[in-house]
Amino acid sequence: MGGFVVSTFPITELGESHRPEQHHLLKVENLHVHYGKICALKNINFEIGCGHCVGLLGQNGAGKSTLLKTLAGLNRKISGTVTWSGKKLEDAKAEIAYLPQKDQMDPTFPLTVRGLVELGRYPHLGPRKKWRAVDSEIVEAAIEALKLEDLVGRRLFQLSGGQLQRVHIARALAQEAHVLLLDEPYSGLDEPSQDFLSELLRDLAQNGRLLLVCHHDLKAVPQLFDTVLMLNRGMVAFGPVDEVYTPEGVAKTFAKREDVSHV
Amino acid sequence: MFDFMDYAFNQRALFAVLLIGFSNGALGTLVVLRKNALVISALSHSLLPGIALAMIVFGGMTPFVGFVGALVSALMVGLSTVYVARKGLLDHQTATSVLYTTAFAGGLLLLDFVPGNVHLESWLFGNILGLRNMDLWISYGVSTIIVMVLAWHRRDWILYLFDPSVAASMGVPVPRLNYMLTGLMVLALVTSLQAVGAVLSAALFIIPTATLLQWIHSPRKLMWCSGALGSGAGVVAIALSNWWNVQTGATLILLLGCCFLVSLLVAPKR
Repeated sequence: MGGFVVSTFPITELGESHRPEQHHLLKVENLHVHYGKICALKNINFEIGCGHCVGLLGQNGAGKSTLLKTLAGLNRKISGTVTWSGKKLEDAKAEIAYLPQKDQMDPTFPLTVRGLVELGRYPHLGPRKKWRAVDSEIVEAAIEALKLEDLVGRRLFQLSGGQLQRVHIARALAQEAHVLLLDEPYSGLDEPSQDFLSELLRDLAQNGRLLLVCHHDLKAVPQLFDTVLMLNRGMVAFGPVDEVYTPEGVAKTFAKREDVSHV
Repeated sequence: MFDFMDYAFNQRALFAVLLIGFSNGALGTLVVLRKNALVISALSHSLLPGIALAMIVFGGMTPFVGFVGALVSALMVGLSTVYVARKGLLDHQTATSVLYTTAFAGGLLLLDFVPGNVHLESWLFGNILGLRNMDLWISYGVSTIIVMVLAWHRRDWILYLFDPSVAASMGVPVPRLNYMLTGLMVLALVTSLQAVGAVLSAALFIIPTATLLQWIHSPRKLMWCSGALGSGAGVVAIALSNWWNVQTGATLILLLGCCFLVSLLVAPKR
């Protein structure tokens, strides 16, 4: 499985200047998210550029998925500002790819692997949604980069969990996304599949993409992520994994919520 | 063998099943893949209060009165359920169940105030051979609108059906599509009422897609092939019902049901 060729994935249509670079910055300032009267996230502040694989850590209900959905532009009723490369999220739809939890998807949906990767081209098709030759080229390149050539004709229910994750990442590549938001991608995967996926995510980060990954299992966090954002309905800690992923930080992150004084 | 086609009522019936069969079959793909099969069945019952009220107001039943009454009633119930579900007050299926049973009960009460004897058979089971030119024009207009909306938004629909949250993250106007789908379902339902009636109308949406789902792995192809199956089955049903001298609406649904069973038996195993 090793040796994905995401580094050579062409972004032909947008040109070299649009390759994800360090100056692409995800900036979150004073973010609060409420569902009715319930406060799901409080006072989130961080900024990070491309080339990182960020683990969003926290217990169930800590706000990991809420943050991911907010960054995907799915929560409209927020206060605070979230920008990508200085643009509002509404103006950066093509550059941010959202990969929901596997359980959320219907495996019986009548779509092949190629069909799912093709969905990634949607934001680039223009107002008339006309399919062009360049779209086919980019889809082919994404399939090749993720080594899915042998699976292109398969239905989604015929794939293993690991294969399905690769297909979704190929969709994100076809979207030419700079930011990938992955909700619990490791859940339900066996150990070899987890290893394959972590290698792939590392490759993507090394090649200039920004990955934000919801993760609830504390095993192997330093191996999976270079940066962590620890949440407990508010921000407990954010920074390089070797600096902030400490026993104290973990204790605060997984403490009962009334014990977290500053949240 | 085909001399039944000399009669104008059979010609009108044929034209109607071609239109209604195609538009309902194609729209049915959205209904099935969105897992709204029960919602469409429920919606068909919510037409009653509108029809009853229209009969009270206009003092009788004409195709236009029935169409407008049913349309207003179903739109109110259908769009209210989308609104209630969107606000997070109830899930879509529960909201539909509550609103349609209430609407149906209201319709039954209103029937007591309709002047003269009320014959509900044609409303319940349809009478495709009784279609008038006005019905055909309504079918033509509604089917054209449905097919155009499906074709124009084809890529939006696929993403929306696959996963609304992924669709919304990519800029698909998901709330607008929710309302649009309900609106189209109501329009198609009201139009097919005269042909197959409220009880059987849901089958015209559901069975073609359910049959082809075993064979076709592309939502877009599924949509157009379901339309073709709906139309084709309609034409065959008109011929069979004339030869056997039985009800056309029931023949059509039974024929589609047989197609589904055969498909289920011979489809490749998953």
